[in-house]
Amino acid sequence: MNGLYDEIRIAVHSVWNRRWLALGVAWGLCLLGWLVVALIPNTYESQARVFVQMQSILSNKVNIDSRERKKSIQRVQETLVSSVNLEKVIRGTDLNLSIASDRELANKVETLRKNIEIKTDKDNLFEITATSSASNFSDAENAKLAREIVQKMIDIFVEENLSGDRGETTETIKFLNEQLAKREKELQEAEQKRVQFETDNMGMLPGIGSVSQRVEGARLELQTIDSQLIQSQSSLAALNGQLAGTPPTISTPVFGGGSGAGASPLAQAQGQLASARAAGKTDAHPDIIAIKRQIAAIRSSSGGAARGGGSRSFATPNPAYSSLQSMRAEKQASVAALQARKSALQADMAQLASKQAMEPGVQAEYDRINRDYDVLKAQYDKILGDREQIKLRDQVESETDSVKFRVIDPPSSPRSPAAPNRPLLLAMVLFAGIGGGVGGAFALGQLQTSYPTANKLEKASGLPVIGSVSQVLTSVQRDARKKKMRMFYSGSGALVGVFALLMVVEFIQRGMVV
Amino acid sequence: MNKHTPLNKSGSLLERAAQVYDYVPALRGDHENQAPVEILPPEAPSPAPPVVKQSKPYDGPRVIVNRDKLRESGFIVPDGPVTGISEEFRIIKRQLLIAAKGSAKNPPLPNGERILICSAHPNEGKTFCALNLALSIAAEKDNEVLLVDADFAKPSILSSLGLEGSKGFMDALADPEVSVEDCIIHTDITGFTVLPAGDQTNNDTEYLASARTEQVLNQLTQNNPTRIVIFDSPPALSASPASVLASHVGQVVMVVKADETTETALRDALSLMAACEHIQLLLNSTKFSPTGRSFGSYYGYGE
Repeated sequence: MNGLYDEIRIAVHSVWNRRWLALGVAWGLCLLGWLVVALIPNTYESQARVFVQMQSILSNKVNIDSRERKKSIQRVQETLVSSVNLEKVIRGTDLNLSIASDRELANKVETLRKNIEIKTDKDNLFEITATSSASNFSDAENAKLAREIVQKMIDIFVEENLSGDRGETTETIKFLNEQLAKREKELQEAEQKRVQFETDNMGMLPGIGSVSQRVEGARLELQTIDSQLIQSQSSLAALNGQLAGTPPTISTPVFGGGSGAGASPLAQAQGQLASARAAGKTDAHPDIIAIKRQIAAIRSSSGGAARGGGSRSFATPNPAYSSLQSMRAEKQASVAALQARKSALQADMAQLASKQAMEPGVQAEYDRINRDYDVLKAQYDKILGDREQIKLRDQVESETDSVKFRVIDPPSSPRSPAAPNRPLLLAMVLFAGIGGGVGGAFALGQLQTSYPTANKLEKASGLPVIGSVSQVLTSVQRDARKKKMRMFYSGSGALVGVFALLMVVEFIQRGMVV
Repeated sequence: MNKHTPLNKSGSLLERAAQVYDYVPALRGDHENQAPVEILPPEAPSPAPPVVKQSKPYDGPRVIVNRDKLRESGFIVPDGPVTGISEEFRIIKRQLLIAAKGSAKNPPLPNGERILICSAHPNEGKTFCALNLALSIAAEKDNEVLLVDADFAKPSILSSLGLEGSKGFMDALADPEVSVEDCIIHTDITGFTVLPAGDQTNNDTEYLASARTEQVLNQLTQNNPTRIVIFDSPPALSASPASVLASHVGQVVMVVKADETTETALRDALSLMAACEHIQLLLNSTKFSPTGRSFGSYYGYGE
């Protein structure tokens, strides 16, 4: 540790020996540094805060959710520093004055982009900061310019947020309208197609019963008719048998009355003829003609009966026989009707069987048409609903201001430059200068090896050192030395003095802006 | 430190110095005997006779060294109070004397009594060290000292002592007729004699390299074994005589000025001094001592 302490003392000593060099380097560095600091243009910073309120009861009702809103504001925030917007800012402020070409404009835009900062605090509090350090403007102008830039940025921010959304809505409605018109047409076509198909395949469509069902029904009916027909035919056969066994007439023996019975109709008819003639009717009268024919008929019949039997019996038609005959006629008619019905059913079944083969295809086609129609209809309904929704939203937005902008802190008017921190820089330059001087002296001491102590000399040279002699000063030398020291101290003091002067100048200059 | 104010030749100062140290009678008395001393040279060429002559103490004229001037320039003042500088030179001279005389372990160095004080550059303290060393050795009881000003281009010993110039070393070398003993200035300080540089020639180095130089030096030392000869040489890196002188001496003391002499300069100077095998270093003008050496204050005199 001792060695280290000695080394430090020797180092300090060697720097002290070269104090004039150190002072010179310090002066040089300080003057150069201060010149550079003085040449840095002042940068003024203006700041504003904008509060964006997004919640609105009505907006929520019509489904404008706050997340979506936030997103759109974020988008605006991100695009706020686009070249187009920045050009607007440049054109709207004094920056405009020094622009001659597009190239310069582009450069300005780039510079401005770096100088503008937009921060979001707590989602809906925006902080817009702009700095201005145009070298061709005075400090006061720069301060004003910074403020103008921020103001312009706020304007653009608000404007973009409102109009951007509105434009979007209008466009959406237009698109939806187009879609709706198209869908409507398609829907109509589908409807027509369905009607046409229904007409074409009338009997085969659901609702009337399927073909197979009807075939089944017809078959059952046919069976019933078949059995009825067989029943009718068998009963007809029975009747025929019965009829064959029944005599058409039955003979009745005449006992007196019997002849009378034969003569009486004749007599009756003669009586009738007589009464009619009595009534003045001539033979040409139809009644007389009819009666005469009757009489003739009765005579012929009674003459034959008398000859055939030979007996004195009288033959009469059998009533059972005639009733059987009428029953048979009835049965024959019903058999004929059943047969006709059966043949009709058979024809029907044959037709159905042929249709049954086509049935699945028709069904599928019908389903498809129906489905298409349903899909189209659903889409159409949805789009229609959407359009109405958006229309409502647009109106809500434009009439109730769903986003409210409030400038909390208007753009500040900077009084002192934000950068560079000149006092700090000046002080840093001073310290750097002093450090550089000391460092330079030390470095030179290391480069130019000299011997501050006998010990070092002995170590370095390897030769015996017989002793060391302290510095002896004559009074003249002492005076000269004192004078030199005074000069050194005043030189150092002057350095600090210049620093103090520069600080004073800096603060006076600051006071002059505004 | 070896830059001294020019000699103030006002008689009043000499007068006052003489009064202070009460050497006026001696000075007066010496003035009459100065002529005979200068007649002696013819015997110088032969080495043997001087031995007899020099062995007896000198009783010729003595010049007065200006003590005020010494004090003012920071030199050791003979018979003065103990100062830091005198203490430091006491330490230094001891080592030189031991080397010259030899010790139990080391035999005496050849020509060890001839000590060359040189440095790399001017203004590093050669004359200051040489003069102080000479003054310090002069106080030795067993030795007397001869300070030779070998810096022919810029002699400064005499002016530092406040003495008048006369013939000197170079004259003795250049002109065989001149005896070197006659050039020696005896001072009122006991055991302290001075040999001035003499007139500068254009061939200083060649004269120094000649065989005569060795003869002259032998005259100075061999005849008087107690005598220590100290040469104040020119800067090694500025004038060539230094390296030639190194070949004639037994010890070289290289003065290094603290914080100023650079390593490269020192190495270069040392390489030029290679003719002498015994080279020692002396650090001059140190401004601080890490070990805390502070001579001079202990005796209570202080500066």
